Formats: sequence, C-alpha cells, structure tokens
Amino acid sequence: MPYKSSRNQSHTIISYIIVIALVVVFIAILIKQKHYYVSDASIAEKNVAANRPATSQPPSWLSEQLFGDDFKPANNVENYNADNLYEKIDGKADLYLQNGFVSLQCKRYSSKSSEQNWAEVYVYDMAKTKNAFAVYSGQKRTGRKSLDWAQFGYKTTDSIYIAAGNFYFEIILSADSNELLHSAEAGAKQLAALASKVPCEPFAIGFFPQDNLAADSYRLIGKDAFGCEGMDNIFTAIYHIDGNDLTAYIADMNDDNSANILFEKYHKFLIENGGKELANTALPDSKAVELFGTTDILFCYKNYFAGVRGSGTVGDLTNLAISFKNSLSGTKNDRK
Amino acid sequence: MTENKISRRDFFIRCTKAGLSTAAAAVLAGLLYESDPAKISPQSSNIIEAMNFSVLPVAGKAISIVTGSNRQATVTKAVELLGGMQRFIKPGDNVLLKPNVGFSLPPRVCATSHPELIEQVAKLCFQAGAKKVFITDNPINDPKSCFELTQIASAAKKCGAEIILPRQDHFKQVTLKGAELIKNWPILYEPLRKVDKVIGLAVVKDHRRSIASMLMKNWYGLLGGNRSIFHQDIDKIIVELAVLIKPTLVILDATQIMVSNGPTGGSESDLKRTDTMIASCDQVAADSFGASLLGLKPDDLPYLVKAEKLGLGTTDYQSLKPLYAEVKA
Repeated sequence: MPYKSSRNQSHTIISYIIVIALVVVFIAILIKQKHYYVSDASIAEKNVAANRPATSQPPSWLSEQLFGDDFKPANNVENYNADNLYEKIDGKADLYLQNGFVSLQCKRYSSKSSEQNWAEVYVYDMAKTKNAFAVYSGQKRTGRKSLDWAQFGYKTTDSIYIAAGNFYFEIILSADSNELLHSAEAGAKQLAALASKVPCEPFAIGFFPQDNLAADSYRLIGKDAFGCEGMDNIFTAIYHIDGNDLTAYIADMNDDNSANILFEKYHKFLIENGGKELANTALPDSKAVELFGTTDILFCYKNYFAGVRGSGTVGDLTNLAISFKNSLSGTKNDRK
Repeated sequence: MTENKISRRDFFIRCTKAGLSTAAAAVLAGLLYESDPAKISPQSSNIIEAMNFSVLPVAGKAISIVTGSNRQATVTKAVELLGGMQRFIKPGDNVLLKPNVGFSLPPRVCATSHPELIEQVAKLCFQAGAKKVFITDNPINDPKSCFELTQIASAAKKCGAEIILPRQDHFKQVTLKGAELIKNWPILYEPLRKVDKVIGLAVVKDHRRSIASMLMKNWYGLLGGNRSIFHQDIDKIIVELAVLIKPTLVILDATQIMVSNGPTGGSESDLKRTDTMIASCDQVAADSFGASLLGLKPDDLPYLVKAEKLGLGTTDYQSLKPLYAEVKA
C-alpha cells in the first residue's frame, strides 16, 4: 500500500503540472491574440502576393547590392498586385490599374554611414512598353533633368523616374543629397539594363525620327488629342526646325482598318472645323489640311495612324512627314 | 503488483469511455469549427450617431489663417487666435492627435503630417494641462515603419506623446446611424474611446481619386478592413466619416502643399510653398480654404458640398470671419 500511495501522489503531481502547463499555454495564446498586430494580416497577404507569378518579371530586380557597398537593405522586398496596390500608393493606384498594371516590387536601402539617408525603389511591371510610358509621362515633375543614358528617364533633386521596356521605376530619396542621388542613379542604370533584357513588343515612340528631335519631348495624350473627340492614346514628339516647333504624332491601332478609320475621323474633324485642304504634298497617300495657321499632314502606315503638325512651312512639315513615314516603313519591328 | 492488474471487463469499459470522450470532443470541435474566416470577425456592431469631441463655439473664433514658413510658430499663433489651446483642452484631459501618417515617406515630401507640427501641437496640449497625448493612425503602409520614417515617432518621443500603433483589438465594428457605407465596419475605436478630445491634423494634397485630400479625408485613417472598396464612393465615405467624428479642433498645414502626383508624391518637385497654417472648429470651412490653395472651388469637391448640406460646416469660410495673422521668420 505505501507503494501505491506514493505512486498516486506522483500521478497527482504530474497531473497538476500538465494542467498548469495547459493553463500557461492557454494564457499565452490569449495574450498573443490580444496583441495581434493588425498589419500582420497585410504582411501575410503581401507574402502571398509575392508567390504569385508576375508576367515577365525576373526574380532579382532588387538585389542586396543594387546601391553598392555603401548601402544595405533596410527591409524585405514588398510585393503588390492589382488587388492590393492601393495599400502602397493609395489613390494613385488608379493611374496604374487603368494602364495595365501587373505587379509592384518595393525595397528600401539605407546608407551604412547614416540610416537617415535611404532610398526606396519601386519596380512596376506594366506588362507593355506603352503602359509603362503612359504612367511615366502621366506624372512628370517640374524642375526635372533628363537622364542622358535613358530614353525615358529624368531626375529631380530627390528622386529618379524611368520607363524602360515593360517597366516603370521610381526611386524616392529620403534627403536632398548628391551622394544619395549618385548612388541611386547607379542603381537605376542597373534596373534599366535588366529591363532591356525582358522581351517587349514594338513601341510606337521608337518610330519617331531622331533628327531635330527636342530632348524629353515625348508625350502621351490619353484622350481627345488636338481637340478631336475619340482620338485617344496619341504619342507625340516635338521637333525644332527652322525656328519652329513641329509636332509629330502617332497612334498604334489594332489593325490597318482601325488606323484608316482614325485617319478619316481626324481629317473630317479638321475640315468640319473650317480646315482648308491643301494641294497634295510630296508624301503619297497623305492629306494636308490647314486650320487657323496650323498645318496637319496625316497618313497611315499599316496599323499606325501618324502625322505631323505645326505652323512651320509646308516644306518643313512635308520633309518631317516623309522622314517619319520612312522610319515606320524602314523598320523591321512592326508587328506585321 | 497485483493491484495493477485490471480485468478484461474493466479494460473494455475504460477503452469505451476514452473512445466516447474523444468522439465527443471531435463532434464538439466539428460543430464549433467555422470554415469561413469572415464569419469569425466580431458580429456585434455598435450603432452610434456620432462621436462628439467638439467644444462650445465662441463667436468670431471659428477659423484662423496664419501665414509664415515656421510651422511651430504659425500653429501656435493660429491656435492662440482661436482663444489658445486652453479653450479646447482642460487640465486632466486625454487628447488624441489624428495626423496623416499614411505612407512610409520622409517628411520633406509632405505626403504625411509634418513631425514638427505634431510635436508643437502636443506641447500646446500639455501646456494646457493635458494628462496624456496620444497619436494614432491606421496607415496604408506598415504602421510601424510609417511612424518611424515620417519621423512622427521620434517627434512623439521628444514631447512625451504616446504613439498608438493599430492592433486588431483597437478596432470595433461600428454602424453609423443613417449611414450607407459605415455599416458594421471596423473603426479604430479604442484610441477614440479613451480620450476626451480629438484634434485632426492634415496636409493639403492633390488626390487622384478624391481630387483633394485634406482634413475630412484624413479621417479615412480611422477605417479598418478592406477600406479600398470605399474608393468607388469616396465622397460619400468622406462625408460619413465627418458625420462620425466631430473633432475638438482641426489644423490644416498648408506650409507646403502637394499640387501634383498626389496623394503620395515622392519629390519636392510635387510641392508648392504656400506658407499658411489654418486652425478651425469647422473642418468644412478649413477644407474649403485649403481647396482654394489648390486652385479649386468648394463646388469642385463634392464631399464639401454634401457636408455643407448636412450641416457639418460651411464652405463659405469667409462668412466665419477668419482671423488672419502673419508670423515673420
């Protein structure tokens, strides 16, 4: 019997220990639940998003060494998709979502010498070159300085913006610092180089002739270009010729027929508003209309509707139009 | 050792009991299990009319507009013109500051409330006798990094204010009486529940969705859940939030305003210096003045017009006879 009593006692002690352990676990769970950090849910969602495939995005955009040896990563890569882009950029998400946004990767890098100096990199996968250009041109800053190494890129004193291939990059700096800007520009070059390796479809802007082209003059007119209702998504570029600013424009339509329809629509718009048909220019299959001192020479080439306009001489406009059409027809990267 | 032996009968009885206990636990767990996570969220909703933190109006002291480049000086003057912080804060009050801490961006790009302004307002509250000053927001980005990178966390530390980072238990399902959108929706309720006074602090920003983001839009930061769905009806939710919260005082910082690429901006190139600080008891009036700095009329902002119709304030801020002053640098 003493043996049994001793054994029962030890069982009782073990039982108490187990019960106490269970109570401790229960309290720990309660405490953890009570202090649940609300952002954890969004972090979890971001991690889920990280595992979703992007259309064409290589995995190593935001490497540890993007900003060189003097900088270190300050956080993990954040990933966003169309469902949660708002969580990063709030109301500005609309601009991206309306232009074919696929995904966003962000990462912050801080200076090893001063953590107050940091840069945050945003890599937007816009699926198409024209989408990337649309968001780039839709938010240009005043006081910008073109980046001479990028076709579409500029910097301000505290940020860098580039459209390259299917991607749009932003680098936001924490301070107005030359050193920081210099490092950021080096990182931006790396990103642009990576973007150039990702295959992308031909982009209408690539057809603008380069002679006399004004730097940083590319624009995208989203709606009703030149006052003509329905003339949407028109890319333009400015040319300085004989003291005049001439504008070249182009629209990448779905097919030849759509390009011709837009051609006729714009021609009709010009005539109906008092435009005067000019004698045919030296450019075959084109039309020339003068309206309020501005002359338009418009034409089509396959799926592209294009033209030039301005108050320069008809000769200058014609030469620019011929050069433009040659660029379109001479290139081998049109989609037909 | 014979005591340890059990009979076959006992053995089966014990096995049966253990099996039944396990089966009962499993059935109970199965009955209690909810596979839809949405149904696990608190179902009880507080139906409320408004959370009123306002103080009694004083004739001729509804809005002040102070020009100057130093935020701390201009806000001090703006509050002084309305009767001083002691008009709004009584000794022993617990005060909540609700700035815009929406993004993890540096203060220089003015996408968020400026830390110097928050520090000064907190100091004024303490000088008026506030027992505690809390600062909270439910940012778009990760709350902790937002408070740190905007330098609002360090400003709070300097002046003795307390940051409240949003946690799940800070939110409460709320239904605003008569509302179409705020129905059984999580609101950052706990910080509001434990204070006597609420001061709203916002910046003046271009906003792609709501045209302009100022004081009324700033209450958006009290919403929890997947609040982006309200972007489809942004004006209505802004107005409902203004109905929900009647603040003690609002302060609109227009020292530098974001005129393009809002609400995040990202560069000083998006900013314009207007060197103005507005303090008011009428957030509709203050926002109407702020809109004018962006080149907008009240009619351009549907939420202002709707708010006025509901009697939440006036878009004709001039009718309140603003008190003007200038603080030289």
